[in-house]
Amino acid sequence: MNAAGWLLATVLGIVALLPNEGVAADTLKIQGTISPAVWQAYAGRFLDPSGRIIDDANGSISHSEGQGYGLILALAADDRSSFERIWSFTQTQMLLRSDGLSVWSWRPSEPHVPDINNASDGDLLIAYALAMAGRAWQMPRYTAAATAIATALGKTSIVTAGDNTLLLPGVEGFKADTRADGPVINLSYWVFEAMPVMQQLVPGGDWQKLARSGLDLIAASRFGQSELPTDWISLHDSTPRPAAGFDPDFGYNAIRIPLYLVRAGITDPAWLGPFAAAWRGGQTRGLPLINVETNQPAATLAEPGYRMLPALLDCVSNGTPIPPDLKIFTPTHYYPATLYLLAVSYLAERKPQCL
Amino acid sequence: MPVRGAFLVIGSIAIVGILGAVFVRQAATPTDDLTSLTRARAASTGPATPDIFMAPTTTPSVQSAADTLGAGRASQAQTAQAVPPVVMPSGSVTLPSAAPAAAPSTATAPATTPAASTPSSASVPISSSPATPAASAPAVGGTQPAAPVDTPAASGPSVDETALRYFAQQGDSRRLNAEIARLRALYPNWYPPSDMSAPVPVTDALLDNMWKLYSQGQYAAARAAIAARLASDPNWKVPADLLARLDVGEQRDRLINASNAKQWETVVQIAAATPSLLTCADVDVLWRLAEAFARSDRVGRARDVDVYVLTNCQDPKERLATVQKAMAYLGDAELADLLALERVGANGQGEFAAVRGDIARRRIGAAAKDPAKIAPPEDITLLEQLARSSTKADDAVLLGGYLFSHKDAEGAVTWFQLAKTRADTPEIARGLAYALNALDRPAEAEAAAYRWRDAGAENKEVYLVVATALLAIDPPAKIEPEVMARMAKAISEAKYPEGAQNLGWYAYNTGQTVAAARWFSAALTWKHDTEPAAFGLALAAQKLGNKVAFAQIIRVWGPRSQRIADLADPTKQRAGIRPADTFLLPPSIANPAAVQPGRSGAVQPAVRVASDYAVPTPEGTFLGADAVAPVAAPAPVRTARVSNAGGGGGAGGGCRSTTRTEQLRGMNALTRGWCLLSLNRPIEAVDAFDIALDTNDGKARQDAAYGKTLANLRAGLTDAAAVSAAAAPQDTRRAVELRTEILTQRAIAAYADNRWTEALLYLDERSQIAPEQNDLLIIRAWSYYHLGKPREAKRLFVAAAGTGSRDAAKALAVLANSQQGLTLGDGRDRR
Repeated sequence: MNAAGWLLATVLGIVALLPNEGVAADTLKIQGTISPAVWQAYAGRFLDPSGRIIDDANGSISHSEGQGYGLILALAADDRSSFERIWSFTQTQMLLRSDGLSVWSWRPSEPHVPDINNASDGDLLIAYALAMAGRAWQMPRYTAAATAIATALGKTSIVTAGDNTLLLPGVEGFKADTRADGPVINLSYWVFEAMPVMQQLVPGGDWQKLARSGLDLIAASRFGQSELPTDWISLHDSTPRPAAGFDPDFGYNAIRIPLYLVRAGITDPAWLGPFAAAWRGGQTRGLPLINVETNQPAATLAEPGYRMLPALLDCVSNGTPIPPDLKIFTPTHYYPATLYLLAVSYLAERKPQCL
Repeated sequence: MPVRGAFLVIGSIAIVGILGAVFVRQAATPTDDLTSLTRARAASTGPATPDIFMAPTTTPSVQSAADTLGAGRASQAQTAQAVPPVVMPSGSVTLPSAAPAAAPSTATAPATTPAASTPSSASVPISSSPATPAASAPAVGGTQPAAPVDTPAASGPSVDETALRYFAQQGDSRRLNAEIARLRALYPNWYPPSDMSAPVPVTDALLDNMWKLYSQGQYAAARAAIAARLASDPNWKVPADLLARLDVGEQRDRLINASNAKQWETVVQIAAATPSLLTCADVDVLWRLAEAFARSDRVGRARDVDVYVLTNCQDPKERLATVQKAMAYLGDAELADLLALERVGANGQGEFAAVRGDIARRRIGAAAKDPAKIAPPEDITLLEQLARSSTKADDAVLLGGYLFSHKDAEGAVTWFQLAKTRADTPEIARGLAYALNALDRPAEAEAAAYRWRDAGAENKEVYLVVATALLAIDPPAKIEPEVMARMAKAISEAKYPEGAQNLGWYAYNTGQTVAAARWFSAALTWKHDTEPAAFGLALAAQKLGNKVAFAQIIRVWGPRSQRIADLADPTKQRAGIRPADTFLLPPSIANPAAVQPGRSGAVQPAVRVASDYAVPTPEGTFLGADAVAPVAAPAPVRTARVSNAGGGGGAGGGCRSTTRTEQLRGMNALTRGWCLLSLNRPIEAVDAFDIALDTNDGKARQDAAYGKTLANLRAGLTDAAAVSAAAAPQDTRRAVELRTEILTQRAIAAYADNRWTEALLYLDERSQIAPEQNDLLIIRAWSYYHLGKPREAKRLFVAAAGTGSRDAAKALAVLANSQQGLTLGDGRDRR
């Protein structure tokens, strides 16, 4: 099956075929996939009573991406109270932009919002969480808010460049007219599982095309011996290349690409192959970040939350059970803990046999 | 209806009217914002939509989403059940457990209820007549016309007073008032109960806690508490009032945050969707809305909001602050609309008295930057009063700056001097120096500018300008040795060619020729194409008898400057194309012995006549061996200071540009004339002096006539000079000076025209009032020669050669070698 046909059938089938019927089998439900105890361990560490998710490895700031993850995980824990808390903060403190999008960061010190720019993955995660929670808990105001954000993203951040439909990483600073090597994209901003949901909220939107271009670009962005994409990619030329001004690394951003593919049900080796190969054994040895120019590891991440990603791929590709030490949630820092719970939520829903 | 109540209700109308007008306006043009604005408006009018994002059009998809989810939930629960149970080691929490948390199965029942029962939409009818901004007809004196308001809400007992009583009990008067205002807007027939401070019987501790969290502004925590209770008790019904207040509270926070982040459109959208925020009980929101309008190019709307506040809100401090804040974003016209709403107290004092001064400062400050803008006289009067009564310098500085830019240098000096008694700042020094300089008082200007000369580029510039002006006074002013030294140091450090050139002329004119040569040389080093400096250097070299240097200068500069080329020929020098150029040289040049050199110790560097100055070329390469290392200051002149009324106080290039002259320097026509003359632009100078002549001030008229005469002479217009010299009587010194030069020019002109007898007549007349220097002596000699009196000629050549004239010596040689009496040199020159 060719890529486009496969994509239509699996990722976007719900939109194409079942606009007003039940949820397709491939769409995650999320709700109720994380235990209250695990969620409490996460929230106790990273959820401030004010409703913001704290990135404790980055000066305890918050960002729209973290708010979106917090909302998704609160839904996964079926914690309506925490969801309300996080959403209230997100709405009043960060959803300030006149175009209807969220500011990308919030600092505990004044001024809380020093930079008004957005991050489109944060907006997408928030909208996705709201849409899923609106369904799960029958909350029309969540659904309405999700629709507003999805509409705003469509207006401001989804652009066409050549044959591709792109998600600009932010409204400011990434287009061809603002960067010499623009447009610049970040493939880990393509939260594939959210795209059919957005398409349903905004039937006239380009989310379907966006998902298709995302897969094409992942296939085209295979740099170095490991054939992996870098975090930031320039699409200025006919073929993608690592963007100027960023480390040429398959780095902290890009490690989410296979996670998002898996969560969206895209488990075919044709897509996961290079990631699985580069991460072989990573669940015990650590997750390597790779410089695609030197072909050397830029870092090896040993925190359990990072090691969970190779374990997830091994489960999905080979049915390998999660190693015992990774079955225990040990929150270390915000980012790996979040990745861990996103993996666990998926496993609980789709691959409980690995747990 | 109580008056206050009327204000509140009509106030809401007004604000909604303002916003409504925005909608109408937006609707007229198809913009992207149209959807969101109209949606926001729909939200505020829809009966069951407290949430700003809620839009009727989204309902179908919401419904379908809910249906599909409902269908999917069962299978999810089954999946979850399949997950194995877990152990919980110490320190970590084990996973996984998808054990269904709080059962979502009953979610269909209560979730939509709160929104549906929220009464906040009762403010609807107000916004249904959006096209009339009430602020456009501000009622004065509290007699507002009753606006037709349809109130759908039934009056009476249905009003939920829970929050009201809670706030009263907490003593939270701000929220209490806000709640009263809100309920009054919703239910016009409702009146606050008289007993609302009576304790509310606590029957529900959890609900009480929610109200507590709300009143502390912890909206996220209140939301969390509500959701937690709904999860555990699906039958519990959230008080609609609590939800409505939370919505409003969150939107208020969001509006404040958006305002802080300068997201003006968001501020306007929130205000449009949440009209209950817009009351006198929360003026800060109104201020922010006004600012958001103003910052997004809707100044008229901003004015309307502020007019609403001043028409309806009573708090004196808030009223005053409204005007103060508006000053930051309203124009003068809009601000005037606000000031018209000022209330006058029993003592006759207006409530905005405290900002009147600020407003005057603002208008005067704006006018100070734009000479075409005249500040209102009452503003000037007020600021003068404030400046006098204050102990600070600021107002005096502002006045000084305004007056200077409006050509009242005298007034500016007065205020800057007052300011200087209160503070010593670079700005004051700068203003004072420029103003004094414009009054032709460069010595005082130099003193004022000196201390802060290194405080920044502007202060450095003003010091150099006034120092140069002081040096350029003609005839040279008496300058104290320490002043001369510090000016020379500053000019040298700044490598300021204009200053160096004037130091050169000062030195030259006071007989310090070596120092002059060095400063001219420095000026050329710093600015290679300074022709006047090259001219000065040539003169100095000539005077010092340095033939090598002189020849170098002529070689480099001769092709570029006729007057420098002419220096090589005494006849040409006098009879050249621009004969009046010699007027760059004051009398002291022609007769250096007449001016006493300084007697102070700091006279000169050791006089090494040879080549201790280099000759920079216009291209910046040196012809001489030595680089220039300036240089000791010329010795100050010890003669009594001559009145500088006729001096060129404006030297230094200040009149090169018309705007700069008239606006920055504030020169009058007379000063400008001198300035132009010092730049060797005599024709323009004549025009300026002509304007200056049009005065009844005898002294000024005399100076103008003097200047005009000099300018005519400089231009070679000798007959015109004779006329202008007679335009006003001059003192003896000037009369002699002018007459001497007129006769000189006429003699030279006659000689150049082969009218030998006439030349001799003029020279005779001239010799009765001024000594005849060698160049004229030689003309006289050649005239005798051409008239057939070689003996007379020879006698004069001998006399001139005896004083060192090389031209005379050459002439004698010619006479001696030529029996036929060759007319060597001069004849060739005259053709």
